[in-house]
Amino acid sequence: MNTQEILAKHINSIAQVSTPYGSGSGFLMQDLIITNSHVVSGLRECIISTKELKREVADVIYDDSYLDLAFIKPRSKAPKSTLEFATQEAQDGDLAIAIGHPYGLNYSTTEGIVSRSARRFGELEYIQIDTAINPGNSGGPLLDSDSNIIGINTFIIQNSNNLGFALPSHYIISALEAFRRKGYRYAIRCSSCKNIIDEDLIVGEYCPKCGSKLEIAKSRKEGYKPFGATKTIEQTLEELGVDVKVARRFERNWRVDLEDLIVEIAYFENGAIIADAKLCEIPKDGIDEIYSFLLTQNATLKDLRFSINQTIIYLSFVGIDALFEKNSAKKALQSLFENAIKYADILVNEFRATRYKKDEDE
Amino acid sequence: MQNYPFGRDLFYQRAKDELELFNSSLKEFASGDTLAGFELFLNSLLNYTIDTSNDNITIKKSRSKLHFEILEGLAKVEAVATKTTLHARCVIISGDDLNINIKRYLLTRNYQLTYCKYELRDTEVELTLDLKSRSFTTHKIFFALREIALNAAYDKEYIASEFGIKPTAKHILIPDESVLMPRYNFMHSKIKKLKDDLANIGSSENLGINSFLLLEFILSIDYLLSPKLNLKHLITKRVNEYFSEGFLESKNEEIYEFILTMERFSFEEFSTNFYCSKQTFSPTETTPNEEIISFIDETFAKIAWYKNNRFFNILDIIYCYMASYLLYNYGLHSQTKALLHIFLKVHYYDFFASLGESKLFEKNAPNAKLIASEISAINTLKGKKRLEEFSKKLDYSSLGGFNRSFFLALKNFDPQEF
Repeated sequence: MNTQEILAKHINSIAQVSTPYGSGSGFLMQDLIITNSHVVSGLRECIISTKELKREVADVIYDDSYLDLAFIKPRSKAPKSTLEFATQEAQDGDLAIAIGHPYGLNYSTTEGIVSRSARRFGELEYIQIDTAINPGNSGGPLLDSDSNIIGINTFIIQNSNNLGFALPSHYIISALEAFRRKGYRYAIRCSSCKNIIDEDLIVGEYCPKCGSKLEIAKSRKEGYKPFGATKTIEQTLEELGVDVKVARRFERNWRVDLEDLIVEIAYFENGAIIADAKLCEIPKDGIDEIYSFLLTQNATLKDLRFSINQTIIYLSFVGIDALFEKNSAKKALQSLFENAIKYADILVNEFRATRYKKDEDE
Repeated sequence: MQNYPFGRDLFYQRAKDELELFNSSLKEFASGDTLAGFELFLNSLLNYTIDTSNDNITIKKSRSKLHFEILEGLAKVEAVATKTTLHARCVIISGDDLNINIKRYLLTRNYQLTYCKYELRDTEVELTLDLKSRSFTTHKIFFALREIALNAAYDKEYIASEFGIKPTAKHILIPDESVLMPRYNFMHSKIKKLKDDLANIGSSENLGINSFLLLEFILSIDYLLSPKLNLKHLITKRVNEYFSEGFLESKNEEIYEFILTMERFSFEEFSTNFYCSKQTFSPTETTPNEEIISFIDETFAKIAWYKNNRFFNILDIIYCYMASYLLYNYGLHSQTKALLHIFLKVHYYDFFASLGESKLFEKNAPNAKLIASEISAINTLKGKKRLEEFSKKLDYSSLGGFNRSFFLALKNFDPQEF
């Protein structure tokens, strides 16, 4: 099987995992999604998606910072995995294929070889690969030529030329078995004594077995808490019926899907809060008329503006954090959501503009 | 003779009590007297020419509203403030003058602006601003008003020069011949000198020398003549192109071609590039002193190279380039600007004499007494002593000594520490 055939066979088993702090990859195994601990950023909830599963909130039921592993339980029924662990360990020179979402580029596959099958870092051994992996590949599977999992892509040496490292699958299998045996609802592994701890039994932030401080226990308990203008934006979106957890991309970015349209909301460091609805692409003909229409409509729309960037026509709300008051912001965003759909239809039907095409994996 | 400014930055003196007015505005907003807060803030933006108000802002009060106008170059921003709203508008262009290029430009600008937007209302395109807040503060209105004023001024100039639309602005004055003729003559004498320098100092083996000659020409013309509209627009384009990717030889050639175009200007054509207007906001943020020091050090290194390689004739030009580049490219403190203005007055003594000012260079040397006197006359509330120390550090024995000592002193002069 070549790389593209391998991707086609397993694409439904590859997941994207995101939190407000970033995003990475994962893969389905039994009823769980397996990823790196650093991908879930010490949170008990994250957002998952696969080809068959729309973005949804999922629970991180096992967090192991020692092995840099995490197990996620989808809330809806997980699709059946097509992936299996390899029965033999990787050998130097073996083919090594990575699948993941580097820099958010969905379902990217790269191919290389195992440079060294057991490279020791501290107490653990990793598979060193020359397969290109980048930020966003973390948590994705590393496959052999039979398309079986030999490891989980975990880290790279920054600014190096393809020095990537994957945690071998035997660590993952052991952790999965140990977690299943324990039968805990939520578990974390203490990185000091290495015991798997029932999270429900943790008092304060300390390991009940060895007394060391469990930073992950603390951050999981606290969860993600937006503040300031970010909090106001999220409250406003919630009042407008948006599922904020699903809409959230990073700490200061949100995406709302309105029928066929996308509204991207960003809160910038200079205090600007910009909600852009990508309406359509400018048509080939009648462009002068469309420009006049947009400029004239700008005079009638309160709080909103039409603009053009490259070939896309936008309807936007632009505010400033210092002036972002919940009631007026709610009215403005509501007006944006309503008018975006209305004007996209007008531009397509009356001015023959082309509806903006979303990437199917967006 | 009419007073005509130098350079692109805010040329006028700020109000002496600017800071007090700004702070009082903060207090009034905090106490809930929004309109008083607006009024004090607007008063803090007034600027002066020799202690006389330029009336760059006019205010009319009623019981529950404050009407005001802000003048910024070609732009006149008309605004109304209430306790919870601020609406401002500036007419940019008549709807009759719109074409597809301008419409596209305006819609693209809408993607870049934060507080304002372009709209076609009735027969005119306006840049508008609508703010609502239950708790206005000085800073909330400052950024918004600055955006509308500076962008309206910039875009009116841009549309006029890029798309050839004659700007409408009843509040500007066209300078008379007594202002423009010395500038026109200076341009020609400078072009003649440039041609001589290119023939005598310029080198096909060292294109950097030609670059310094050409850049110094357009940057000093930009500061000393302070052209507007098309000429300003073309200078901006040439400078931007020069500092972007490309071969030095072709960039030098383009600047030279542009200078030859200037040479062909009749006086009438030259005169269309000038107007007198009021200004309110500074288009540039003040540059940290570290960046200025870094630029001086980098250029000193270049000067050392030319000196070591016996290219002595280019050195004065590089020093003038330093002064005019700083004035063109950096947001400078008013004292630094004033010092650089004096530096250029030393080098361009004939031009300033044609404007009726005293010659700061005579008998082959800088005039120590007059220079020190001009430095001590720099309008400042604080830092008089530092300015005196600055003039004491200058070497008046020769032009070369003056150049180097001036920039060494400037490196250690930080007006922002006051």
